[in-house]
Amino acid sequence: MSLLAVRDLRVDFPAGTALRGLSFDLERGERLGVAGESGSGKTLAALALMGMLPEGARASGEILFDGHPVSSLSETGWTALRGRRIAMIFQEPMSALNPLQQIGRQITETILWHEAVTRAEAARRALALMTEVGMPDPEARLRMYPHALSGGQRQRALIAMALACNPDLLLADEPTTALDATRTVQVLDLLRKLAQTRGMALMLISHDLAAIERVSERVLVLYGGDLMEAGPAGAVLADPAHPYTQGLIAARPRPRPPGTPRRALPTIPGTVPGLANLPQGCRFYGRCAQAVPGCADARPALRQTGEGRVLRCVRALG
Amino acid sequence: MRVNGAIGGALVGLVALTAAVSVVWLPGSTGIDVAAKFAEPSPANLLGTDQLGRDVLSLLMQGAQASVLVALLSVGIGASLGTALGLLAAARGGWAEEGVMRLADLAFAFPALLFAIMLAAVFGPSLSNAVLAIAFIMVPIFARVARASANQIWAREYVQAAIAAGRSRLGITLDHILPNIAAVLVVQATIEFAIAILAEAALSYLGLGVQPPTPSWGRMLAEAQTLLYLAPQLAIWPGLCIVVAVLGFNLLGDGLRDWADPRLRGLRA
Repeated sequence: MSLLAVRDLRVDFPAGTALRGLSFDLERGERLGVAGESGSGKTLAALALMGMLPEGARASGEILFDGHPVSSLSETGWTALRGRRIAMIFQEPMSALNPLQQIGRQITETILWHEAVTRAEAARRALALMTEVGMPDPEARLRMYPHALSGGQRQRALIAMALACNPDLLLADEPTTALDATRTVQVLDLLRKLAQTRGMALMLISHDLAAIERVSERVLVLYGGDLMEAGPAGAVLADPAHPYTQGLIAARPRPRPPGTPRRALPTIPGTVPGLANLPQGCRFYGRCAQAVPGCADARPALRQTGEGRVLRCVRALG
Repeated sequence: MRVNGAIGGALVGLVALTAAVSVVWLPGSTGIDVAAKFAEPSPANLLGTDQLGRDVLSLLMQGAQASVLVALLSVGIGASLGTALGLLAAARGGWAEEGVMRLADLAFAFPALLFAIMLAAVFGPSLSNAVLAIAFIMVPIFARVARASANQIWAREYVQAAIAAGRSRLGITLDHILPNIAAVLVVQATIEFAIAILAEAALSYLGLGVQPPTPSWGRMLAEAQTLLYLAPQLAIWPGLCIVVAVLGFNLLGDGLRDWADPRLRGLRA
């Protein structure tokens, strides 16, 4: 049985459909990457897994966590699941910590909330967590307030908080957007190492394909709330089949080999339309260079194209 | 302005100290001695005596007790009840929030003086009824301030993170929301203190507050009214005391708000 099974997850807003029937499985200890632009529905999918959809959102479909449907959970049921079995780290390490509380207290509160342990035991575990996430001088940092920590340190503190109760699944929503390139690599490597050593499943949400390649075994590519392509991360990124994935990979900046002429970075023309204006057929219709008129009419079916690979496109051969 | 806050703090300290000292020591006699009525200021009676021969300075000092007591109690009750309601509204949202806020509107719309007269008519005029009447005005004010600031904190990412960590709404409210809106509430409380002192004086002036023979600035003002041509100083002194106390609390509130400002950036509208 998979740790997580998402079946036909659909999220509707009054303005339109933000997630159009997403299905995927996540095994224990598996590292999954979810790629897509802003508005692709990747964060929404994570919030649905946490039962934290914004007001006005209507969700349907089924989410099975450890075999149990989460849709039937009460508020109390959710508080027992969140933080303990599924944890989440957020984009902005600057604002995801309470400025008025010491780092140590913010970690121990989560432990004390979920588990019947003494304050001393919780403090001991907080120190162990801070050491595990590679915090320099962890003992002193536990007593510090968030403003005294650098961006990378805060993100490490947030990861320590998320790991406090040994979750089975960690959702990381753009954990490195606020960090510089060096810190980004360090935090990504840390996440991968933690998932490996703890046997914890990791769902990395990012618009950065390089980040996903570095961490994930498998990748889902989302666009306009629809799954476009999925498969083993190495295979999909080396040989993308969907025009959207191809566009994303072409748009990655790379170092120019010395002596070669400068050229403009390729882009995908246009922007993601608003919820109300998404095309009814293929979501990518209108921005796709390979589109034919038929693409606008019907949502292409998801089809198997290879070992563990699926694709939602009528044109690409895969 | 830093200076304003310091002046305010000093004035408030003076009023509080006077009230405290008057409990154990008074410079003159507050007993009725008609023979000594309308005495000129003298070493024995620094501010003279009133129409019943009581030492005015002693009366003013005792009057501070009523002001401080009523202000403390009414702001205390109003702030705790109002803040609790505001936090509840922000934490629950939906119909609970609507309900609390519409009740606050209702309480706001109801004339406070009418409520005080109603309380006095039913239970008789007394200090505790004055406290209740003033607290009644404070509750919706604190409910609104608490809810508005709490809603802004609920939208912060660290609160989302706390929800994601599985904390309950009550736990988040106590751990994250309340400490982060405390500065706003303290500032509001100082300003409400000034209003409470003014309200106590007004109620006592109307005979709805502190009852004789306990002195209060409002009552001294009411009694001096009829003697305004004969002995205007009897109205001036309690009036001045009210001005000093209200000004002190207002300046202190301003000072505290400025002091808290860097932390409040983006929190106040």
